[in-house]
Amino acid sequence: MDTPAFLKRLQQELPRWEAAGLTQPQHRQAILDMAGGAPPQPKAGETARPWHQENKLTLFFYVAGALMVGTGVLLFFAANWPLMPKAVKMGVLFGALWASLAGAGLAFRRNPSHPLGHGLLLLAALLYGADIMLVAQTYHIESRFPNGILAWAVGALTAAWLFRSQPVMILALGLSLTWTLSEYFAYDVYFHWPFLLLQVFIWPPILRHGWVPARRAAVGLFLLWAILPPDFSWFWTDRSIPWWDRFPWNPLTAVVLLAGLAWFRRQQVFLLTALVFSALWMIYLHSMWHEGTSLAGIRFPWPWLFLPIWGALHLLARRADNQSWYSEPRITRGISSVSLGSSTVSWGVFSLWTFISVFTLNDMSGDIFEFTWGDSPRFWLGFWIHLIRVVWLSADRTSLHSRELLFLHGAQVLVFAWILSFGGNHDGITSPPNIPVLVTLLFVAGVALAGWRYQRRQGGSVGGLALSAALGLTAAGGLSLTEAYQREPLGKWAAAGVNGLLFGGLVWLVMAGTIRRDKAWMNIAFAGLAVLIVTRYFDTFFTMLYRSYAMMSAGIVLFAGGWMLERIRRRLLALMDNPPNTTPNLRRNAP
Amino acid sequence: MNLREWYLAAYPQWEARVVGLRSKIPLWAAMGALTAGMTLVPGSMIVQKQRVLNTGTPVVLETLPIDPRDLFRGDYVRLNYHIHLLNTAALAGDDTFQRHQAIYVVLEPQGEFWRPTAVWNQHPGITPGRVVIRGEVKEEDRATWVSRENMTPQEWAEVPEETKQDYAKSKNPQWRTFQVKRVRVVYHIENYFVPEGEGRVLERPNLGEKVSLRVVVDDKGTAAIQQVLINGQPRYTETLW
Repeated sequence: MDTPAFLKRLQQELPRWEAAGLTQPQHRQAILDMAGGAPPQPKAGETARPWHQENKLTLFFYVAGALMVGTGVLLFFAANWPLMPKAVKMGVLFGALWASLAGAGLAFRRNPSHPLGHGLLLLAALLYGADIMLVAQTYHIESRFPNGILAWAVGALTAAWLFRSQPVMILALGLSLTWTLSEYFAYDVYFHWPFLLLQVFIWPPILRHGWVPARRAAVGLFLLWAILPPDFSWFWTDRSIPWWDRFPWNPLTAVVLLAGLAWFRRQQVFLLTALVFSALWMIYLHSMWHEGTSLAGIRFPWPWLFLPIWGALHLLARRADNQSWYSEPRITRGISSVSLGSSTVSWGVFSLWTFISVFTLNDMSGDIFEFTWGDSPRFWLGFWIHLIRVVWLSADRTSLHSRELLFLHGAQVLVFAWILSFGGNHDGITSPPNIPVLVTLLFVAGVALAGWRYQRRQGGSVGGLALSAALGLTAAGGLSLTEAYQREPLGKWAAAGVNGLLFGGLVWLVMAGTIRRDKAWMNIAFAGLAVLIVTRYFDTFFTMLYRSYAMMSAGIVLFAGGWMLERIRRRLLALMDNPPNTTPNLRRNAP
Repeated sequence: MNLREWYLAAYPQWEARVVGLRSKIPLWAAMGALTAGMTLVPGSMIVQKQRVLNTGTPVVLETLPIDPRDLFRGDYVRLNYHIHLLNTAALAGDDTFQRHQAIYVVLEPQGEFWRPTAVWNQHPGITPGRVVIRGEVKEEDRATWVSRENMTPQEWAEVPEETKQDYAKSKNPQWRTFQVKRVRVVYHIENYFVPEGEGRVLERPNLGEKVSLRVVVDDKGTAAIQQVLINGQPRYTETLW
């Protein structure tokens, strides 16, 4: 769970704690095991977990590979359709669908929860959607387009039911959201009740099979559906209506009501829901702000109103902290660290860092301070600022909120890398040489090096993960420096470099999460990969054909990676079952 | 009791019959059903399209192509037909329509193109020499700019006196346009997919080139694009294979 540095420090601390009577010597190993993330032993009478749950990394590789290959195929056909006769196109489209389904069937025949089966089933569900879209394209078919998305969602949902596939269920959830949002925005269906019908079919398998990520996604989806205001159109367009009539009162009302419920009903679920609603409220405010809404003639940075709201919720959480019903969930701890500061680190340092964090996030459009820098140096600055924090926090994970903050700043590093992955964000460089950027980058490099040294001194080791991270960051540093000094904007080539680095970084994150047994990082990496795939699909900075080749190549690499991991796992299992003195030739004994 | 425990306790029978059904279905049957379903849905789309093309009546519509690109399906030409904005007061039939309601537009040949002569809330029935195309009202009162000769007397009466005097003194009155409210209708034939990069060629045709569409309309009013015409000559033709 935690770094070797933390474990080493804990080992040094435990004898002191024992001497002070805070803990017993016989508990020392259990504490170290827990802090080190040792896998929980099955309880008496408990059966071993299903095979696919033990193989999350392989599943990740197959699922991510399926997503990339599926998207690549979609792009390839979108780019090439005039070159092929319709019969060939239909043959390839349906052939790919049938082949994926057949492959999934074969894999499931060997093992009902084979990760390759889930990967291929997900690919089939994606290809099914591609078939609907591309048939509509090839034959110029138009109708009420949300119906096409509904047909896709129903197909994915059926596949998830029949083969108990959580990845496909999550795809179906995403599609059901797309369906309801397209009804909402394109056809003004403000209360889209058929969405509830789909929910009836979504929940039983999620509950039956205990799918936690799918359950979380379904809850989030339902909340999003529930807070959609009655009419969006006036909100952005009709300036003749006074601001107080355009103000998003309904989510704010929901926040207040939920906070009240949390306090009086003593249930933390209401508090968490209030936090989700307040986040959505911030999104509304942000859109108002970009519309240039002013309060009494003063241009007001509306999103910053969000911080006091979060702060107030945090105060509620703090008061509730001593109550039996409240168990201090991570989300409130992370948020509180940002909004009010941490109890273990100086408030001033946190406030400063909070200001920088909020500033770098909120000033992505450059509206508040209107720096004359180009876009990419500013975004690189945001990237590196949050990365320093990640390095610091990695080096010292003993502070109270370090894990939550690591999560928060790590996510912001990914957000900035994602922003930099767009070709259009590399065109606005002003007049190099850009001294502030250079100074900042040197400062960042120095701090990062210091943090790394500190970690090493604390007992951390430099393995393959650290080496590959250093290589990736060196490349990122080189790219940001080149951008700061390049007289001509690098444009899409810089974006292509960032895309490659981001893709590698996300895969790295999955590997690191697996080695450290930290599921949160794996989830973030997977969500990041999904966002990257979707944005590259819709992006236009390269032709569809090039994007298609890149997607398919990356997908094939992931599939190959999954296959290799599986081979290694089997060889290790064979090694454990048959120790080397009895099995001189491992290859022959592998299943 | 958490949500899952509640669910499993409350609905054991339903759970066993419906959710647990998969365990009773053989793998090959489940996979066969899924394959059939995933093939039939896109397949039926092709069948429906061909049915309209084979049984419908062809009409030629005047167009103004704009703005190519679709996020899901590559480049396309968004077709802006002249029958998109209807002055219902100047046409025979019904006058009031609600947003997202079906609208039936009667087309009759006038010279090179087919033009609207009446609009109805219900299908008015087919008579020789006329075609009824079904659309969907997108906006009841879309503000649009039209020339003086395209305005109804009622619309002209609503123009401020000052603007009318200004118009009377204008040296080029034929260039003056006035804002009026029209019903905007979509017919689900607004997009035509073209190879990547070719959308912009159709979007901005060369000087003197005119883009029109030959559309087929079946007896229920469903329309399908059959040909894209440049100066009356087919550029793209729809075929099954």
